[in-house]
Amino acid sequence: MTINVTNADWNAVAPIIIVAITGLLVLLLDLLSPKNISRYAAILLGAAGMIVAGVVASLAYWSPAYVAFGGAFIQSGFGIVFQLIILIAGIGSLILVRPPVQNERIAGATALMLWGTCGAMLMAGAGNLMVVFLGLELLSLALYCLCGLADRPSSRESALKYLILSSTASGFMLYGMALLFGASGSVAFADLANPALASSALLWVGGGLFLVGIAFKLSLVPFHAWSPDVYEGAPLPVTAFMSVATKAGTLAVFARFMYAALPAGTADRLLLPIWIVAAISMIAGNVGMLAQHDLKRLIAYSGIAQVGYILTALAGGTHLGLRYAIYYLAAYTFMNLGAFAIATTMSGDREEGSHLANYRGYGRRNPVGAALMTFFLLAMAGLPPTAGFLGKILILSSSVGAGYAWLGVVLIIGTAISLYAYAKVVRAMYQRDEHVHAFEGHAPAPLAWASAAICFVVIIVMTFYPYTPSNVLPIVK
Amino acid sequence: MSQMMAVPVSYYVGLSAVIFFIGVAGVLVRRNPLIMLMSIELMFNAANLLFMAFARAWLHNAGHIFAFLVITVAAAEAAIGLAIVVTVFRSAKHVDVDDVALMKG
Amino acid sequence: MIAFWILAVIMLGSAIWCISASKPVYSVVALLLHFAALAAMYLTLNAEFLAVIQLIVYSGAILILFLFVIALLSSGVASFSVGPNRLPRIAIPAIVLIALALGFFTYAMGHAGAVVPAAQAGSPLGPVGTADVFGSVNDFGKALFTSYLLPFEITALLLMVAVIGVILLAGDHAPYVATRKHAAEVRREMREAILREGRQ
Repeated sequence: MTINVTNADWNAVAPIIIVAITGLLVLLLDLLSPKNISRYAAILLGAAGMIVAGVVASLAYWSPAYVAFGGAFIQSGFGIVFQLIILIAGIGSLILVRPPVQNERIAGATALMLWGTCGAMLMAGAGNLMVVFLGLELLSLALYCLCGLADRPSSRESALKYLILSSTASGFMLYGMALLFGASGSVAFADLANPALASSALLWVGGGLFLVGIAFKLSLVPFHAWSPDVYEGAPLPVTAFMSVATKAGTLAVFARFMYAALPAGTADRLLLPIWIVAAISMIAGNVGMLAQHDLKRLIAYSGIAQVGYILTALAGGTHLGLRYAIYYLAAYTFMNLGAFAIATTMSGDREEGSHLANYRGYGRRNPVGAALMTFFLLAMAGLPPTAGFLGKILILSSSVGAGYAWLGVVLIIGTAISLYAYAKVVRAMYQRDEHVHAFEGHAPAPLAWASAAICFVVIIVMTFYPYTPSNVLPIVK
Repeated sequence: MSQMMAVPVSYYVGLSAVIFFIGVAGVLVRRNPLIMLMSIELMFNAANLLFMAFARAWLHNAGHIFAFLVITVAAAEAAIGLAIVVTVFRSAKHVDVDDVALMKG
Repeated sequence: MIAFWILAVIMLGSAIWCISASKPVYSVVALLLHFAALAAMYLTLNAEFLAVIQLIVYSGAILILFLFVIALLSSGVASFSVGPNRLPRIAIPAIVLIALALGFFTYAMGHAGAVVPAAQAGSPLGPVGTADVFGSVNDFGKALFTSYLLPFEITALLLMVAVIGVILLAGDHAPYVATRKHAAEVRREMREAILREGRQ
């Protein structure tokens, strides 16, 4: 039972350790510098740490999978791809940090964001339920604090709301884990995939409660009510981080659970509720988008639907479906980060530029910004010259191939509804309007512009060179 | 062995399930964030009891380790939760989750 | 068996008291009782180390933290609103839910063929309090620092997040004292401010 921990085990988690230590370094520099650490120093150090971690992680992509710490952490292509997406989300949202997050809190905010990234990365590579739970809680605890960082009541209230609802969901997930432990006598994913458990009542109840927790973290429809409010209240960069990193980490756990940890024959029946919920999310998320007046709420509802698309790709459990899901997740990451970057360039020192009223007449005031925003919104809607379109086509093909064509039909209906909502924003930007709040010119945001430009280029490249990583089948052993 | 397992594991499962649902009911029914946080602690502890019971049934101490980790997480979560409650209270002068629009869709 | 039933009744009663109490302070007391009974129940399950941890961390640290916050908020300017108690309205569905849960779980357990006590860990079972048997500190520690080293290390990061997060959230916007030199400046400014006030 006892295992020996070797250097190879620590190497497997080296990217996570690098990110964690970068967080400590930022705090330490803040402590040692005569005044507070400057915003750029904190952000650049944090981003550099995450880039190094990304390079270290990707070095191991082609080497054979390694099961570290006696099965607690699994270093394989699957985990590495998800870790890279999470790191991109971390970098892309970290560089958006600016007022109203005050300067004296910048080091702490950076550190928390880095450690939250660690949590999501742990989820991506988790090989047993303990690491899933701890990674999830690490991410969630960091996010509770980050949500409450802006100095306004709505931010603190969103933190309270997120804390209570998310902890309740963690409670469900934990109880499900306890039952799974009871079913299999082990906390490792590897021992769940035991055919003898297919008829165990504990596995079914436990798996069901576990999936309730997952559905909450992915904000699928019956458990989605928190996300628009929390997204709206949280500071912009935190919303950007939450909308991508939480979903990427949770999807990694879900994919590993679904592909590798279920006894043969149970997947179809146990996961059916998830597919139904995904279908409802695709419709309800897109319908919910129609009534929104804030970009953050809009993206929250859009995110509900986008997770539905990604789950559509996973339905059926094919290898191809997983590759397409990862492709779409990466595209979604860049679209979201791009849209948030543009919103950041419109923010003033006091007010964040996410209210849709600010976008009226934006096309005339800043043609480049409006064009980029239009591009990102159209990518989310899935119109032709973007990766969003290609991703949806790939998802449709795989869902039909896997026997889940009905999900594909729902996806098309949802997309049709969403077009109207995205078009509403685009139309507002190119509308002539004299009564506009002029938000530009408060503070230049070079980092946000750079981020938007990079996201634009990456989405274009992804569209014309649709590379889907092949070494991604999750393993548990 | 027989004297130790006099209480079947199903009794523990039933007890912890009831406590878990009492916790869930607390979160749903009460609007005071402190009591909601305490209800969440009840849920976590119900899960811990289950871990203990199954650890004993399987003679596998993974359940003990898990419960230990859950206690750590619960402590961290309580600290952060109470800090958030205090900040909300400081600015708003009341802590009733209805007023912070918790259930607004 | 008798111990189980006594503790179960205490735990259920205190749990219901906890969620239905009219004031948070009563809830804390109920929770204290609940946790004490839970710790005793851990002892009946051969988890002596966890029983002690349960008492020290939950009763000793977390509940005291709750008490501090209640005291802090009650002494504030505004009266501490308790919030409406909606138990009566939801009591019946809740009882039905709980009864259903209980029935389902006992049924599920009766039909769960997979749970057969099979000694996996290899630690021998023995009386509580003996070294090296299942659930003892020795057994627990060995597992924690070998097989479950990674989860243990993650908790270090988790506690770090809690510490930094709480400082960021609850720390007021008082002058940020970064270095000793800076601290001296802050002290001098404060002294001058006090002197100025004294003169007025």
